[in-house]
Order: sequence, then C-alpha cells, then structure tokens
Amino acid sequence: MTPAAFNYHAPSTLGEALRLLEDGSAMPLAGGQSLMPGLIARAIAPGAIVDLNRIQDFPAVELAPEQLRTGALVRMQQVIDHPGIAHDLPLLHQAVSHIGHRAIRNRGTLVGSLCQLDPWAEVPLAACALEASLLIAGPSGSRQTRFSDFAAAPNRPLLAPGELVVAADWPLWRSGHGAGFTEVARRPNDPALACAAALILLDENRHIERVALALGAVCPLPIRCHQLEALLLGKAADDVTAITLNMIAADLKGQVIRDDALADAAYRRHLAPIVAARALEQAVSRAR
Amino acid sequence: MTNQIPMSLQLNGCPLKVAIEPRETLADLLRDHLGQTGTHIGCQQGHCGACTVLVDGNSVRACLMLAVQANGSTIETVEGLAPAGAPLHPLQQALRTHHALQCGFCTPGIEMTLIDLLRREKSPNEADIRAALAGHMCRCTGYQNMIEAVLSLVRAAQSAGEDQVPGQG
Repeated sequence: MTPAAFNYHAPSTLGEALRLLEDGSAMPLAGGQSLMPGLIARAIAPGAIVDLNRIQDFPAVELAPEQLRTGALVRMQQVIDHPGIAHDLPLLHQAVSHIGHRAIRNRGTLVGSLCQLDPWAEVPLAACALEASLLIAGPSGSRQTRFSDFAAAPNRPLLAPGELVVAADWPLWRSGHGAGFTEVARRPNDPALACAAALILLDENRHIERVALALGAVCPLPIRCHQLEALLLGKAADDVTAITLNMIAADLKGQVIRDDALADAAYRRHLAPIVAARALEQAVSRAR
Repeated sequence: MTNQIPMSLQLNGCPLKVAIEPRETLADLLRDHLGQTGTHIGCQQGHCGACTVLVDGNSVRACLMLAVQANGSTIETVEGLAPAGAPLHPLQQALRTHHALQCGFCTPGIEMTLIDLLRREKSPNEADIRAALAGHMCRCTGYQNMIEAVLSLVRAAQSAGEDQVPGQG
C-alpha cells in the first residue's frame, strides 16, 4: 500500500541531517531496500524521512594498508566492483556477492545492512568475522564503536536517538590470507538458513597461524566461534574439516538457535558445522 | 495532505517536470502520474522484480525508491525499448520468437534487467543470464526460453562480427 504521509527532507550536509534527526519521529533513508518495504507495509510510519542521498560529506571507499573505510552511501554493488577490495579484503567481496539481486545491490548500502541487523544478513556476518567498527555522529559529537557492541539485538542496533552511522571500518588481514564465505538457502540469493564467514592465515608449514570463523542466520545475531578458533590454532590446514565438524557444537552451547517457518532449530544445528567447514575449506584453499 | 514536491527527470529521453507527494514511489509516479503502465507492481518488497527500471543507467526496483529521489535522474522503462510505432527492440523480438513470455507480467522488469546485462557484458553466457534472471519471479514460463532468447542474440551478434549485442533502449 502507499506509505503513510511524512515530511520529506533531502539535506546536503551531514550537519543538516543530524539537526533534522533530532526530531524523534524522523528516520534516515539511504539505500531504502529495508526501509521502503517497512514504509509500504505501514509497519513503520515516521513523521519525517531524512534522505541522506544528496549528502556529500560522507567518506566514500578509502582503502588504506591496515583498514578499509566504507562511508554511509557506499552501495553493495560498488563494493563488488571495486578491484582493490576484491584483492585486499576478499571476505567482504565474497559476502556482498551473496546479497539479493543486482537491483537491490545498486541501491542498498553496506552501512544500511549493518544498521538493519537481519539475522541472516551477509554484511553483519562479515563485520563479526572481521571485527569491524563503526564511526557514528550524533548530537554529542562523534564516537567509534565495535560492531560487537553495536549489534545489541536483531534489528536493534545500539544507536542513541539522533545518531547516524557515518562509516564502517574494516581491519585488513595480512596479504596471503584466505577468506571463505558460504550460505545455504532455498534459492540463490534468498535469505540464508545458515551462513559462515572464515578467515585463515597459514604459516610456512601450512599450519594455522590465525583464524576467524563466524556463523550467521543460526542465532539471532552472528556469532564468533572462539572455542573452535582456539582449537584450530597451530593445527595443519588439512585437519580443518574434521576439527570443525566435531567441535563446533561447543560454540553453539547456550546460544539461542533460530527456529522459524524457513528452518527449524534442529535443521539449523545440522547446517552449522557444514557451512562452517565449507567456509574454512574455502579459506584454506585460498591461503598462500 | 498534499505537500507536493516539484521535481524534474528525464524519462525515455523526454525531459519532464512533475509535482508529487514524497510518499509516492517511483513506480507510482510512472504508472499513475505519467501513464507509463509497462512497469508493473508485484510484491512491493523488492523480491519479484516486476517493477525493475533503469535509473541513471543502473537497474533499480521502482517500488523501493521514492519518486522524489529520482529528481534530476534519467529513467528508462520498457516503453523506451520500442517507442510507439517503432519496431520491437531486438531483445523483445528474441523473447517473442522464443516464446519467452505468456502472461507478460514479469516481462518488462526482466527486459530492463537484461538490457542492463547486455550493456555490461559483451557476451553473457548461460550462467550470467541465469544470475540476472534470479532476481525475477516468473510463474508462467520456467525461464528456459528467456535464456535461449538471450543466447540467440549473443550468437547472432558473434556471427555478425559485432562487438556487442544491441543493448540501447
């Protein structure tokens, strides 16, 4: 249906946008690929929409030796098309390549996905694996926050009223690392039933020097499998599958496992070791 | 409440000025205000792809964009592929020849996505075409004939020694 009426603003600076967002009933609009369905279904009815798309102040794509910064208006398709990101931060390239369809990716933003915090989403999963952080501007100035703190609850980021995420910062792994990303979904590009993001650095003997493994869509938010990571350190790359399949259950203990019409909890528990092992195997095969 | 916002855009090569409520979508603008009903509304969530148009050269779900966001933009819709009186666009002719449409509801959105694909990829293969079509729901055809249609255009362009399948709208 048609959205409920709202006042529309299209500021040209971040400062103007922040002033407009001081109104508690105002919502920011970037890519709109999550906001618009909500407006159209009248699940949300803000008094005002602050369209961010005319703002020039946001950083764009800034690729530095130690980190990638992606500003609030960086589109998902931009990330896929960026050769530097594909080379230096392959996990992000792979994660975003699994998202939706081209028309969605042409408008949807990385930062928007991080703020939306859907349990099955690829960008939050990559942020969990890479330990991304967010640059946030608000009435009381700017702050930097770790993604793990920002992701307070599904669809509920830790953002104070009037605050806006300006950029996401993604730490890079050393050249030669391998990245893996895999999903199980009913159809290509459908929301994942279970997904995994893996990063591996091997030493000269092909033993695991550094590893990160995050699971998405299984729990309400992406989780890092720290116990599995600790077990994998120092092991031979070839042992990754057996260790993962046998030991990942420990990281799921005590976690809420999602159960819904798409997949019940038992199926998600079944999928978790499979996607984890596939992602790690991919990462191992790409590590030099 | 009618707080109409004035805007200008280019639609299929025509410059236009309109005034519209901010809550109306680009799909609403095209269909209800500009009489261009070729762009269809299916799910209003971005899943089905029936509303796909090109905005500044990029494929976009017209149902997920506010009309006012297209202020100053260049829009291409299915109507622009074969303006009234003109012959069918080669893509449309290929889809027709290969029986790649039945009810036609999904077809305009698919055509705009395929036009975008043909502009970007010199010789798309079956995997490229399938990936492009994955963003569109068709209940009638099973997609196979659409794939055949596009592959036939690619083959025809190759044997004519052309650099690219005709993709201009």
